Amino acid sequence: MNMVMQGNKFAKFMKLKLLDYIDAELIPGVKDIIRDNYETKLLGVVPEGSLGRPEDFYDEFFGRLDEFEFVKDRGPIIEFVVPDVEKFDFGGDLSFLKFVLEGMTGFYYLIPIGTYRLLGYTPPDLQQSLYLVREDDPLMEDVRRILGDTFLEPYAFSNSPPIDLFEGVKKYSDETMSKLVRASIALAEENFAFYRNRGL
Amino acid sequence: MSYEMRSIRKEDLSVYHYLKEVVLIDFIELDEYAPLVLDQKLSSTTNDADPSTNILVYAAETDIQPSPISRGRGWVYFDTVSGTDINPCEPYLVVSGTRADGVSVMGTPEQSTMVTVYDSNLNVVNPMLYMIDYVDGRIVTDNPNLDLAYVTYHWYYVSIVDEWELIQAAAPPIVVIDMHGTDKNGYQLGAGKKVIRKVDLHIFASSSAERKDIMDTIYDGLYLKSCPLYDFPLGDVLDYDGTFYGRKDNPNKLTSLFDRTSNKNIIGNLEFYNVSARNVGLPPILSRNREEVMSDLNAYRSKVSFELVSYTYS
Repeated sequence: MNMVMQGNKFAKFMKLKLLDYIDAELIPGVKDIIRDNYETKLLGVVPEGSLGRPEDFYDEFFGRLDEFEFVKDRGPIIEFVVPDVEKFDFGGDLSFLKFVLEGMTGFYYLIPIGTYRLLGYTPPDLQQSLYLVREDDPLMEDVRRILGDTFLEPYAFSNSPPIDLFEGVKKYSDETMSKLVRASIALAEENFAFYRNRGL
Repeated sequence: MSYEMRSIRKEDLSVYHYLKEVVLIDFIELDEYAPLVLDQKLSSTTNDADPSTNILVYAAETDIQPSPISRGRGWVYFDTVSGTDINPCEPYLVVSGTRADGVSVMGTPEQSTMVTVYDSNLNVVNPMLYMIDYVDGRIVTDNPNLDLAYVTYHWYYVSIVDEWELIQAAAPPIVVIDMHGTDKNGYQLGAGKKVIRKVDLHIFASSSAERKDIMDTIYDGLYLKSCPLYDFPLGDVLDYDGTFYGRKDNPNKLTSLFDRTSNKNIIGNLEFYNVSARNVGLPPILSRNREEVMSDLNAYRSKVSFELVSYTYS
């Protein structure tokens, strides 16, 4: 019985330490990698003054990353969730970003919802503020005819292959998690040896 | 100084051939008795002094959609074999002979049953009298008296390309091979490396049903399987002009075999690990009406990801 209690204490101690390590080291490391990827792969591509600049969605993206549930605590099991294009929430205004990350085939123009309404068209989904419109869409003919050349620049990510925003995250997580598990076990052993030696 | 392809190119090409000739072998279509039309622009018939230098190029006319000669498709250049004793991992002929430079090899000859040319009376024309451009779907001959009227050919239904930009050049279904990352680690004391390539296959289908079929066929073709890493000592199967390599100088199919020799620097085959497949669900921000869905390449997408692993001796 005592052995079981000691074992439970050891596991609990180890788990708490592991959670501390994950908070202090693993999650910030993952965020740093994603931030680095975002800055090198997405920023500076869409010209200033254009719609759909990844620069304009930087804060919202990293706000959602802060809210991302990295750790799922299932009692004796801790699951570390590695964010990827499927698990991350790209809803709302970040929708077009998912399109960029999955790769775009063909040439598209970014059209705001106001333009749809102005020209008497119904947007595909009323929840969004920006839409990607193919160059051969009838809407584009009206845009050119009525609004002029303002919208004639195709979106900068048109016809570009997928961008791996989460590149390197899985490998880093696997390696770091192994290291942190070893460290938390070592710390738990050290502490339990200390108490055991004092007969506690 | 001789130049040889790097291993990554051989791996890319080997996976390409494995997908095209083994995994997607059921996705081959037949076009029968397509009319052959002389292409005046590509033909050269003006040298009366030496008629042997004249070349006549016939193109097959067809209304089939997607076009059999669109990017990544083309006519079938190997025979498929049937019977009870075929190897399901290598469903093509492997015979003893020589390749174009005279070296003895076990290899695969140019097809003899997948393309048949007929004259205007529907008699079969001797295949020794013409060459086939498998990429552009043309029959090439230097014999001005040859009566070439129709062609029956098999063609690859699924377009396989290795550049994202080429997707636009073909109608679905399309598979893009995207080899986008490499890790190399040691695996033993001494020489040798474990090479891990990260590969995504992007599938663009023309309907939801077609997407399911192609995705599942590819998944099953990779899961717990491997493919040979060919050495390509003379390059790819087809020459720069779409003809079978060596055919221009040598009409004998047994002395211009495609060399199936595996690369000697790896242990075993290229192995497929961590195979996963998912549909690519894009957000509803695309402007799309009922007619456009059919032609929109982004409408029915999926992705098969895997790691291509090999162990090298050096």
